Amino acid sequence: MSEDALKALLQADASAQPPARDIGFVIAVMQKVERRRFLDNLAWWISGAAAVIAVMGVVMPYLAPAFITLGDALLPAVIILSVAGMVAVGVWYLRPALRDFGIRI
Amino acid sequence: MENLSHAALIRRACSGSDEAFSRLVSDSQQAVRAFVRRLAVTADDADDLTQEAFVTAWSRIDRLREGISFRTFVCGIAYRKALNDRRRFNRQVTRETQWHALTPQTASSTVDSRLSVQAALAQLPLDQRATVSLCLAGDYSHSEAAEILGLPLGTVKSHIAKAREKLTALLGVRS
Repeated sequence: MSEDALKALLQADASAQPPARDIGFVIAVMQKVERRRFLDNLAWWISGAAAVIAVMGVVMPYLAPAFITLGDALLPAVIILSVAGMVAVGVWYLRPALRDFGIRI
Repeated sequence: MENLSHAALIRRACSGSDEAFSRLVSDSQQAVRAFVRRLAVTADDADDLTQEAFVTAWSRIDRLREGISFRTFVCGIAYRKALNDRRRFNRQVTRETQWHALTPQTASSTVDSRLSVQAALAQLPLDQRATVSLCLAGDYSHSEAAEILGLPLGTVKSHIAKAREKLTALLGVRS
């Protein structure tokens, strides 16, 4: 049997020849790709969350007292800034009405 | 998207385009499936394995080197998966053989002079079957086959020569 005859015999084996276009196969592959993408993202988020929790678990016992002390010291400033912020937002929304009274901001 | 070359589709797929990747799958599925069907036991197993190979190709497409075609890249992945499947299958067969050792088995007939092509291919070792599937049954060059199988070019040529000799004998056709 020459090489060409063997080649022809192998190429004529219809059982091994899938169709040139197979949309079902492509859809099945893309479904598996989507599933893999979802699992990759899930693994990424879970490991990220676990890392953050681990870091917080180590750091927070040291940071929590500092935050509490800092919070006590900053309380008056926080109150003043909150009131100033609320006044600023109020004035911003009152601008059209103030314009009627000749006050332009 | 319709008229883009494979190189452009690969670039788009690398930057995350699912549409480009599905076009690559659609264009290369026939060649890859035909190759894997000659390696696997059943067509269904082969298609499952091919789908897994495409998914792996999707996750590693950034590793596709310039000058290597997409189908060559996927065939390489599919071949390594087929090798792993074969090892698992062999281990399972060994266990089952030990289990049935006491049961008298009917001896399977020796190779018939007119075996089907698939049955003849199944008689070859996997690496020889793979080279034949690529270079004789498929239209891959020897160097592409070497790239896919991770073998030196000389080994590929030697596999083809040995496989051709065995297939000629198994198919029972005189030269």
